[in-house]
Amino acid sequence: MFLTVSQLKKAFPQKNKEDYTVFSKIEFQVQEGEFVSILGPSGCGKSTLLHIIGGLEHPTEGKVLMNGQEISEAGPDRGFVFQEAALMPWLSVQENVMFGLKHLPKEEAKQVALDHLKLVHLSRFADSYPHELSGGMRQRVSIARALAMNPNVLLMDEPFGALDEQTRMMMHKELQDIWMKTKKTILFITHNIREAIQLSDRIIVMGTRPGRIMKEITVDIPRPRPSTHPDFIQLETEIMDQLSGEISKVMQEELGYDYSI
Amino acid sequence: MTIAFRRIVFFGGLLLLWEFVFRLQLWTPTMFPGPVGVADALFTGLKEGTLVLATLNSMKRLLLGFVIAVIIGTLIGVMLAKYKWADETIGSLVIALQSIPSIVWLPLAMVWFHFSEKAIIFVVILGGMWSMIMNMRMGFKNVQPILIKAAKTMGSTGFDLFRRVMIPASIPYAITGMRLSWAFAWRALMAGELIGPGPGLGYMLIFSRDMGNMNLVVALMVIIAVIGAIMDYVVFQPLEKKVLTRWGFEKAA
Repeated sequence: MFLTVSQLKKAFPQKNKEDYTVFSKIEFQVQEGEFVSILGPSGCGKSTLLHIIGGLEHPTEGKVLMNGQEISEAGPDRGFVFQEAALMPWLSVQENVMFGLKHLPKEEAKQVALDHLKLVHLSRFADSYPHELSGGMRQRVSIARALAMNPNVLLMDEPFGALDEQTRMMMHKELQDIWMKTKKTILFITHNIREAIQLSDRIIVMGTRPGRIMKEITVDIPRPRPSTHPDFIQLETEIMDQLSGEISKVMQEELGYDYSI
Repeated sequence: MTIAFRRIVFFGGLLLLWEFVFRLQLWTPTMFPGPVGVADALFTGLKEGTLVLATLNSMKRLLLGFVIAVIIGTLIGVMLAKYKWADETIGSLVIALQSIPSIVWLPLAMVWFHFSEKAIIFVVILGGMWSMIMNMRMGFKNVQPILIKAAKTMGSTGFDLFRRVMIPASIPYAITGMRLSWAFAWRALMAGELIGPGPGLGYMLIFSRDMGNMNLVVALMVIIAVIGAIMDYVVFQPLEKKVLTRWGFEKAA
């Protein structure tokens, strides 16, 4: 199996209290070339889960296997796209994309960077600096930067969460194009149901407190998927029902007894 | 254009006011030199070369002390940011020492370095070092964690991470540190030269007072102010602006 997450648990020690368990018994697999979304309300630990797969955090129990090898550290075999673009402000756009290409000869690295900037339609901005770009453009650079390393899998942590609705819709289209062109395996974190249906082959729905997998849904609506497609709407309603209990759980915890529907 | 115009009018007005007060003859010319006398002293000093020599020698001391202060300050600052034990021990010593005005070290330095040039450079280094240490420490501690994470996912660790992320990310703090360091070193130099050996601007200042040449005293003060302003306007402000814009702290104008 390409990417295997097995019996994963993450807990944080607390002062004078029992450990706080973010999630436990997380188990799923991702096939090569598959686009999988992890969908869940805030607090379900989906982001922590992705950070563990990325090697940026360590699990309390369980392990993550990539091509049979256990993951312990971050590495260029897993490209990561954060919610913020996280570009180095002192480097030009092209230099940012070249950051992970140190092992290549300079000229080759430049060419690879430029090719990937073309892929996200930003080759005109190769010599610009991040502060000169819009939020959506920066996120595209960030995607190009991750893809340039030719990783086995692209891990995306709510990459479009900070963008406005129009930009986000454009990014959905672009990401689908990129995915079709590059055939990359993508693991995508989101709390946006439509986004998950729009993009994924498969959706892993997570519940919260404690974080756990509630359901795995295979999306077989033909692409491109207009959000008015009856199957789309039906699936959206289904997931919404599934999550409504979880969301009110979060609300009740955060707002106390003031909250009721 | 309008800024330059406003400045010319302002400083022109200031000179006229100075001359006007001088001509009221409220004080003797020794107590309150006029602009014409000062300009004359300035011109003579530059022509004869005494002012040039003093300025060059002061700048040499300042530059030497400043460069050493920046190097030491950077090294210690990075160490304090990187190692907790160092921050807890050396860090508190730094905070204690930086509250001592650097000129206070001069008597001791004079003994250590036998009344030589080195005593003054020592004081200049101490003057400039502390703000460099504190700013570099801040700069390294405030590198955005997300940039470090991003670099790690691209296979950068250890020294490579340090060189390609930590150092460039802290450059805005380094610039601010250098600017402050320069200002403090400059003050320390002037104070040191008032007491220490010449030639130098501060030394010449005391010497002129002893000779009763108050025109030259004020001329020297003008030189000191002009050098300070030039450094700030020509070197540090543009540099700081450029870096802050590039690093995304400020929108480009």
